[in-house]
Amino acid sequence: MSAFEKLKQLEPIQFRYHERLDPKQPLRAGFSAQQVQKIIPEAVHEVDGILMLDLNVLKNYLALAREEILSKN
Amino acid sequence: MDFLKNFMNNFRGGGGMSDGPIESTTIDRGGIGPTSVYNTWNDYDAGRSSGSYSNESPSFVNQLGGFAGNVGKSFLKNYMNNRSFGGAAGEKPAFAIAGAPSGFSMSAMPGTTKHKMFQYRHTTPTVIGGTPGTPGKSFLDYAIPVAGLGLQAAALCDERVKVDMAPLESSDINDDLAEIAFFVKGLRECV
Repeated sequence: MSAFEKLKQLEPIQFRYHERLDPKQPLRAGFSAQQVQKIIPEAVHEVDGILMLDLNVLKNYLALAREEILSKN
Repeated sequence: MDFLKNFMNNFRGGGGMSDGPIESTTIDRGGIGPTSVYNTWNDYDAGRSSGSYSNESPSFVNQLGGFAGNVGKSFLKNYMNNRSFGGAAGEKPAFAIAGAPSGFSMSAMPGTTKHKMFQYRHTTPTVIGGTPGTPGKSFLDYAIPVAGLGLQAAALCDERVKVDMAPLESSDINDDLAEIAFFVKGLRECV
């Protein structure tokens, strides 16, 4: 599956962190690591039982997807 | 769970976790060498003439070709107008070198289609604001094990630490993660 197709399967979400993590609780944009893990497993790492998203992997996917789109046009 | 516990204990108020860099800092990764965690132009650009381009630090999406503030909206506009992701109409599209881990890019300089600028910058971290007079802590400070895995930028995206999750519509915070999320939202809606 191409990088473009994988990115299209990601489901962007808005969320707030738990109050103990972030008392002001602003609305944030991002992804569910659990959902990303199913599509781009190399972008998710487990640290002490908590899932972390590797932004550099996602950025590389964005660059690849962009090249794929440009090559089609 | 020690990581999360430390994260909670050490988190200080005075700004969201990613309200933008408040104070630059340097992290010693123990043997790997200290890593600057704020935007730094590479010496590669040092020889350019002064005033040749602005010193503002573009977001990584801009490295990919340049978007307006609202990536989701501008995505369609750029795509439909130029069939590319960057530059004004008629300009050759800017491009990024795929796979470059720390953000190499080459893009058209403002106001010209002839001259290109080659940029290298370190990964932009999420920086947690501290109380006045005390240094803010980088998200990486709480993710030392992540650094040990070789990651340079990581985001806490586990569903178990989130509330009020819903399909993306808006965000109060404009960080790297938000830019990626809006970019993907644009992909899903427009292409």
